[in-house]
Amino acid sequence: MTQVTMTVNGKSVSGQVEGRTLLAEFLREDLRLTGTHIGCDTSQCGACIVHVNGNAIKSCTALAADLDGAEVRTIEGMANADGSLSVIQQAFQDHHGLQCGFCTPGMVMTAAALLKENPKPSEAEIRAYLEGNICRCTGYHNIVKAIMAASGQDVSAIAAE
Amino acid sequence: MGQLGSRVGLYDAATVRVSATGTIQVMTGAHSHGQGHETVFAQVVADKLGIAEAAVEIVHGDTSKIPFGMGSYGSRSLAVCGSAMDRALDKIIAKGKKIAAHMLEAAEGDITFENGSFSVTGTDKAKSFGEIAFSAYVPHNYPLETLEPGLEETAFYDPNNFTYPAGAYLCEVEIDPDTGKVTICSFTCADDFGNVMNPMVVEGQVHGGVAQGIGQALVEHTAYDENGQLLTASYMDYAMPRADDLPFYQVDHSCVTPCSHNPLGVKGCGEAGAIGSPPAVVNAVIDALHRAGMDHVDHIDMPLTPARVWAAMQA
Amino acid sequence: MYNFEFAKAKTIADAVKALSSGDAQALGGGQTLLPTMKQRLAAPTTLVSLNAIPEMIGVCVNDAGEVCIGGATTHATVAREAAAHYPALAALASHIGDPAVRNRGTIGGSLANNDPSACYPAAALGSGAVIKTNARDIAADDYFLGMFTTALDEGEIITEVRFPVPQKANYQKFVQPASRFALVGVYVAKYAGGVRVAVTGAASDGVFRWAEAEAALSADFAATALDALAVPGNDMIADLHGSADYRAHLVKVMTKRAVAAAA
Ligand SMILES: Cc1cc2nc3c(=O)[nH]c(=O)nc-3n(C[C@H](O)[C@H](O)[C@H](O)COP(=O)(O)OP(=O)(O)OC[C@H]3O[C@@H](n4cnc5c(N)ncnc54)[C@H](O)[C@@H]3O)c2cc1C
Ligand code: FES
Ligand code: FES
Repeated sequence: MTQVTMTVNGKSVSGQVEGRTLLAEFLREDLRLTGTHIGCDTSQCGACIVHVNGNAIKSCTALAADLDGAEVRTIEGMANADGSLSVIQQAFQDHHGLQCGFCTPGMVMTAAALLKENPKPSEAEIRAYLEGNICRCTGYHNIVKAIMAASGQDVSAIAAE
Repeated sequence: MGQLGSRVGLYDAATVRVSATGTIQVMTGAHSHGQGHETVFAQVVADKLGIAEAAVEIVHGDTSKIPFGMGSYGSRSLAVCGSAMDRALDKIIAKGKKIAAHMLEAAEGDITFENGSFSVTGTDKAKSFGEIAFSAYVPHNYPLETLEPGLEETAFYDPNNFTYPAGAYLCEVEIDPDTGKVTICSFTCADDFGNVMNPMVVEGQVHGGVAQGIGQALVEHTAYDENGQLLTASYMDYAMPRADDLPFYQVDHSCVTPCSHNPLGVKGCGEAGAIGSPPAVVNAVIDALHRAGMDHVDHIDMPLTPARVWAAMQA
Repeated sequence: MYNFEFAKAKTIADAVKALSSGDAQALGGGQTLLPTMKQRLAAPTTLVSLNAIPEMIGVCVNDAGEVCIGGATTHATVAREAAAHYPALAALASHIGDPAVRNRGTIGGSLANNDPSACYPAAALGSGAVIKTNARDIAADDYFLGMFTTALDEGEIITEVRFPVPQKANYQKFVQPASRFALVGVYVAKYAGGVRVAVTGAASDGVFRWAEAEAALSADFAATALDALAVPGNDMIADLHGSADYRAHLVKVMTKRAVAAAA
């Protein structure tokens, strides 16, 4: 067992982990932060994406022990300090950017990483950035729309009806 | 339904439980895993009773709580389960009228229910839905032989026909002549789903269906070798459409022909997207090849992967 | 995934030492190794993380004008930091996998793994790069020994990769629809001394140089110079995603596109 200490959503946490403990498992099972989902467990679907030291990574394909000392942000850390939804989360709700919600934590974390790099992405840039996030419900339409809206772009003209 | 060939009734069920404070729990046989029942079913109840949607809680999936139903499949949840809910609400209103008649000292036949209020026809004597709910659980002087306390009803609704949504799907593609890669340039869906309770939810259902259908048409493939060994056993080989494979879709449901045989006038919308899109995509590809002079290509098996389209072009 | 001991090296020397015992294995970004271990296709007793060795991380330009990339540098860092020095290489890195994969996966891991469909092998071979390990320098031409096979010895780690910068270069990747690795990827680089063409994704022996195309392009660096050439289908991979003939055809198409984009 290895001792790991991380800052997760601004709080210092530590625990004993096996070598093989994935970051996703540490978050979900040890810290009970079950907002991070495990979809494929083979690094294709993106449901497990969290931010580590500011970068989006797939937490199913990273070892907790390797991230000792890291700054981690999960979907639980995305709401505003007063508990209200962040701009991206609110845009997903307003634009029906989720149906079953399984992909949503990863989509929101990926969207946040994108908007940090590129505050006003085009439709094509958003679609390209979502390459590692699979959604089986929404056909991506309202996800892309929500991200455009969250970046302050006018989405009223985007085909709805 | 039985007489249409299913040989058993394809009913579904709903229990509407009104609490003493006027909030409502609806226990449904349909299960929501992202279709938005919590939103749309609450709308059905709120619209019918003239109360706030926030006062309605939809309970599903827990078989220790819900009535025996058939579940969610075949685009039936609103058409069948929603109709069961509507029938249960009819019973709630009928019972409410009895309570209102007792409270307002009027004949049951003189009570009308409108906009959340029970009133004596032609007078200004009225009780709100909330007052009726409270009275149901704090019954004063009820004629107990003819009026039970409580306000909770169950209905089983068996549709007497399928619903018949109709639609037209239009797909525009480009094919890279060197590689056979198909790009979807635009995709338009026009559907008549009867009455649309919530356009945003209905569009979402169509979007998701279209993506499933485009996936089926272009990339998704469960392949086995000659020994029966699954070749697409991981996502390294089983392809699913990603955001950059798909465009924004144009969705229209301006044509509304209400369903004639269910109380909500609604038709199934969940599967339409996945039904209309594969033929639209394949026809667009074949059409594009014909326009490029490749009249010999009349058929390509799905999925129309670049390799298959290229091979068809060489033939 | 079977359990293992985890160790995190702080220096190259530490890592080499830790890797010398038992069946210890190096861990780069883990983007290939961890899925492999989950499938129990690998079960090392110890994993030695290379992710905290400062001398193995980063992009710089040496006195000879070569772009030097630390073996544990992520694809995202290469995409960002090599852009000014070697745009074609940075562009290749920016299209490996998806953003989250690029934030973990490393150049050393990719070259050590030598997946027949991976992108970096094409860049390394196409640029005539030098793969520097804890023990020696290996020329790319001597490094790739077939599918998932390289010249690396047991416990040897890639500490740096040095790329001579060409006059012109471009990588064209035609993606396999499921994995998004290269179904066929072609790296074309024009140096003063001649043109190099490296092909990934296509051949069952992994990345290879297309000699005829190199000769034709060295004489005339134009897509039309390839018109008369054809790649034989014999040694091409044939699978669910494309026949050998299709791959052979794509090699030519992608090479032409790379030349057109580079020119
Ligand atoms: C969803 C997804 C999509 C991908 N798409 C692409 C793609 O399009 N193109 C592409 O090229 N790749 C792709 N990859 C692979 C990705 O680039 C991997 O990051 C890379 O192949 C392995 O690098 P790593 O650092 O993750 O290595 P690891 O997985 O940590 O290690 C791989 C192997 O290399 C060894 N190793 C690691 N570092 C070193 C070193 N410095 N010296 C010696 N040996 C070392 C390990 O022991 C192991 O055997 C994809 C991966 C995923 C998960
Ligand atoms: S669970 Fe990590 S990518 Fe799917
Ligand atoms: S909302 Fe269900 S997978 Fe995306």
